[in-house]
This record gives sequence, structure tokens and C-alpha cells, in this order.
Amino acid sequence: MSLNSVLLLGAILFAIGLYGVMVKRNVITILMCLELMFSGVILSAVAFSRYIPIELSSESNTSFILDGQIFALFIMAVVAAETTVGVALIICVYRESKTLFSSDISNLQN
Amino acid sequence: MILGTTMDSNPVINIVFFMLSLMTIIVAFGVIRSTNIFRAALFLMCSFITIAGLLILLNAEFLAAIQIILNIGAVSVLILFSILLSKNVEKGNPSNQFKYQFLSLVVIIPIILIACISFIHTWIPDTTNSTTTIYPSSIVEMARTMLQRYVLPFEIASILLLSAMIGALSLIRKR
Repeated sequence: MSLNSVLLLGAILFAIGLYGVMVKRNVITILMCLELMFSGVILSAVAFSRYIPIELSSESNTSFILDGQIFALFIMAVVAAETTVGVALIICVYRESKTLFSSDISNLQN
Repeated sequence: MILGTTMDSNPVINIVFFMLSLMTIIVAFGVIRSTNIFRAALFLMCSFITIAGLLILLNAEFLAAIQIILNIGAVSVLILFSILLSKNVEKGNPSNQFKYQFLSLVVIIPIILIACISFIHTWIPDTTNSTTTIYPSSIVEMARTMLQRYVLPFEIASILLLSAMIGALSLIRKR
């Protein structure tokens, strides 16, 4: 387990999620594939936090080397907010137009 | 100077990491390839579990706990509810089919190729042998970092969560 292998796994997860976002037509599935992309990014951030050399941090203060984990925590908070608003939007749109096709939800005016 | 990737010395960690990453990739393909959307949501929960295991391997126990509580507990339930609120769940929703398959492969394959090439060619020093005492307790250090150096983004994140909750409630309110 090295930094490169974890980054490779994160990139593969990001690519799979991006493929799903571009390919799928169901809005809920697009939301799930967004979750996969965020998981890849979280893995990459935590891997940088784990393998960063201690000489690269600006001082000898050891509290500086957990920046990646803090970033991953903020990413998780943003994911939670995004999923909440996304599911609310999906339910709202489905209540209005009775469809979940992403190609059918192109009319935002009425 | 060592070219290539340096591995951790413990072979058990390597084996567990390999198995967890393989399971993660298989389950992620299951999210994409399954035509039943309910089954795709269950695959997504499995991928959350394997990613929590990977976070434990990366010395991020607090993040693994947050991953289990937040993603498996809350986000998956939210997605399952939104699936159940829409119809045609059991027999596979026809809106779950593919479009632009080859066009998106053109975008996806270079990402994986660049990742593989950088995996082979880069050299990143592995300092885990000399710095095994970095994490005496990851949670204590993380709390100290978050509440001293990153206290302003922490508060902004709490305001973001509150506004997201209020926005979601006002969106789905009956008018």
C-alpha cells in the first residue's frame, strides 16, 4: 500500500463515477454516481494526509500534517448538504412532472 | 533514490488493501452496470463500507466512523427513500438505460490512463518508516487541528449544513 496505489484507486473510482454521471439517464442514479466520485476524492485527500513527509510541513508542529483529513471531513459535509438538496429537488421535480429522466427535465420555466 | 513505488513492509496490510480496493472497484461497477436502481443503491452502500475499511487502513479512524454514520446511515437511507417514492422500482426502471456510451468512454479512459502512467513513473518518497509516531492518536490531533487552525471553515461548514437542511425542507414543503 503506497501513495501511488491509493491515488490510482481514487482515480479509478472518480472515473467510474464520472462515466455513470455522463451515461445514466435516471436522476437518482446520477446522484449515486456523484457519491462515487466524491468517495474517490476523499480517498485521495486522506492518502495525501497519510503519506505526506513531515519535512514538508512548515514547522515542527505535528498538528499541521492532518490537513488532508480535515479536507476530507469538509468534503463529507459538502456531500451531505449536496445530497440533501439533491434529493429534495428530485422529489420536487417528480411531484411536478412525474418523471425521472434527465432529458425530460429540461424545462425550468414553468 | 528508489524509482517506482515503495510499499509498506507489512504484507498483511498490502493484502487487505488489495482485496478492499478490488471489492471497491467491483462494487462501483455494480453501481453502474445494474439496471435495477434499487440494487444499484445497495451496491453503493457496499462501496461505502469498503471505503470505510480503506480509511481505517489509512489511519483515519474518525473519518471511517463518520463515513459509516453519515453515508451508510443517512445518505443511503435518503437515496432509498427517494427511490421508493418514485414508481417502477421492482421491474427495472426504463429510464435507467444508457446514452452516449462511447462518447463518455473517450473522456473516461484518458483519466485512468493518466493515473496508470503516473502510477508507474512518479517517485514519491515514502516516509512512513521514519514517522511511525506521527499518529499517536489521530482523533486528538484532528480535533486540535480542526478547532485551532480550521475553526472558521468549521463554522462555515455548519452554516452550510443548516442552510442545506432549511433549503431542502422549504423545497419539499406542500404549498
